[in-house]
Amino acid sequence: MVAPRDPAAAVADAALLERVSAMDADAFEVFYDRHAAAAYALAHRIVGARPAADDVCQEAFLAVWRSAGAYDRRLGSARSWVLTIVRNRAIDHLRRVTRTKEREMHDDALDQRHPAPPGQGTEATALRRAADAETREVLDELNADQRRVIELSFYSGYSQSEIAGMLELPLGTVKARMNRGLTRMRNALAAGGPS
Amino acid sequence: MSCREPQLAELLGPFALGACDDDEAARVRAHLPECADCRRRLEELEPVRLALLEDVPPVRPSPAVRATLMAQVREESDLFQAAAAPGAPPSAAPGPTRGRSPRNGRRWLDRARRPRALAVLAAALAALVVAGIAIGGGSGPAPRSIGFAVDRRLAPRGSAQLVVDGGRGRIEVAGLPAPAAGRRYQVWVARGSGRPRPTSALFDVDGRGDGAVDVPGSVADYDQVLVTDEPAEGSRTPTGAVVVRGRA
Repeated sequence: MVAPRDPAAAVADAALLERVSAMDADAFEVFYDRHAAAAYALAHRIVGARPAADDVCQEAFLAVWRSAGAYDRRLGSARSWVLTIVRNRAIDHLRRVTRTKEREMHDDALDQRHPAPPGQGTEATALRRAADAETREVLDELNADQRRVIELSFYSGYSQSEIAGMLELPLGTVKARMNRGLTRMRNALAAGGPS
Repeated sequence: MSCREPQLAELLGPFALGACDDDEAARVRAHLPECADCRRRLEELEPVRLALLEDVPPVRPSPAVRATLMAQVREESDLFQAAAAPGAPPSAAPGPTRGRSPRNGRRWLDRARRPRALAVLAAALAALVVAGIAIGGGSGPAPRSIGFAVDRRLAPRGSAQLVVDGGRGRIEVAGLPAPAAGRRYQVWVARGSGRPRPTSALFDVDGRGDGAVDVPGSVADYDQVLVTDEPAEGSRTPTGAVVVRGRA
């Protein structure tokens, strides 16, 4: 006998969040199952360790549970909303960890979390490229310098000034790389996806 | 029409990436409502931001994350649904000033009627810290005291206990913050997996944060007790933070 499907499974994200805002735990469970993999992957990419990613993921979804009423569908999809929460929580976690006396040690680990761009020949880079092959690879639209600046910004939460100091580059150079990189990605996506 | 503040327009990329410092981000937010050009340019960057959010192969978190999360979510859901279910309003006062319809856990609620304070209550639930363990003996006619959990964020030095004597319970607290003007502490009880019910037990604390109140009914009728911050006349729906919680 086939068990009847939970009707919530067919409900759109925005409607699910409306139910979550009314403290409907079943709706939340469906929403979690729908987005947990993307959320966890993003958290792991940012914080670089499974236990920390677990914490970030749990913290972010609790925030979803408790503030679903704040979601405004006019401002974007529910998926982008939850992933933005995950990203922000993960960056907060990184900042708590890295902006302490452990910062210098952690900076070394950045090279492992965000390996050198393609062409620099590390094993981590090869693994990363294999993993990225399954994704939209939007970052592969960028040259190595642009990619590094945007990764440090988006996945590590560094400001342009911090990136300039870290890479020992003039601030103007960092700004230019970031803006050119964003433009390239925007144009690639507008043209139908990465080439 | 182009932006009249090019230095702010230059910040749109970092803003989209979350790479602005607090001051820069505040300036961009203040600028956006008055600049259609920058709003449009920011919208054009949104697909890039979304692509970066998803530029990672999906990986499922461990089952433990789901189990822990859902346990907490269901606990909080039960509390709120219980408070919304039909039940005796506090007898010390006419009851809530906001009328609410009975409903069950699957029913959609009117978002506008969901008080913002519910989120605060839920957050407080998560932060409950067990403050003590049973102090007294467990059987016989002698009174026994059971340590209760106190939300350490709301009452860093607070303590609470349930004193059981002759089959009846009494909540005694110390070091709790005084509720805001027009509000008092209210006791809620629950039994088994049932939903917490409001009681008529309302109380204040003195200058040291000390206070006490008898819990209506027999301790045989409940095995869980909560204390929340509510309107002075009491409420049948939780509207404030759970400050104290424990098992009888």
